[in-house]
Amino acid sequence: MGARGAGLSTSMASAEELRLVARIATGDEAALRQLYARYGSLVYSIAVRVTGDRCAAEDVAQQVFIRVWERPAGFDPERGSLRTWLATLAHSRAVDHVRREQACHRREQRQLPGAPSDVEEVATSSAVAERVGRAVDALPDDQRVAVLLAYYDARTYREVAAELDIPEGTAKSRLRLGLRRIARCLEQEGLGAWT
Amino acid sequence: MTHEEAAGLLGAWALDACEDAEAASVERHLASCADCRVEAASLTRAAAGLGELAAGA
Repeated sequence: MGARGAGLSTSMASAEELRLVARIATGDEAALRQLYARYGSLVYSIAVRVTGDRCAAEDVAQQVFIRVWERPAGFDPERGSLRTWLATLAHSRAVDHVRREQACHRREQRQLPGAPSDVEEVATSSAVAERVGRAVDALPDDQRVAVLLAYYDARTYREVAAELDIPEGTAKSRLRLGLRRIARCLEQEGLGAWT
Repeated sequence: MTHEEAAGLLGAWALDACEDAEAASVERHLASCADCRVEAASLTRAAAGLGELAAGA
């Protein structure tokens, strides 16, 4: 849906970001520290919002920067800025963490006799979480990062616009389009009526 | 606030990403616009789904 249209050009990686990643690729630890100083709090705050757990969020943030250190080639400047990539990594790692916790919780529930209503409740909410997680992953990068910043990082659309260096109108429409896609995914699965 | 302005803000509104005064204007518009109410309900559910992800831990 034109995700690679004109709107993306403003969020493409800058030459400076490319240099920073190139330095990391050569094993330059100072470059990694610089990356952490700049994006550590963004990565951590997304992870905290998704996991609801500070310790888990620290683990997730660490995993994200280890991943960058080990596989800097995973950064594709054609697909968006460094911030977009790191926010996406933070979100997907945090969602993985939540899913693992849920699987663990379901196993525990199964071992307990009784409490069928609890099991049902957990199953429904994790079906929604699962679906939402997949819908978020499937969003075009520009919409995903706008939604992540607004929701998990509690930014207003004006702050999202400033953060991503895009016009406010563009930020508003990315939020609306992204949320619409998520809504459509939930409705297709018959989960839309859930309140 | 015109219909276009309110409709354009619905995503931000559902994500609680508007300024307070704007959110109040959107809500005034919703009271009189059925189309926007339908979309607002759908977007609010999607936003609640994001919360479900967050609450899963």
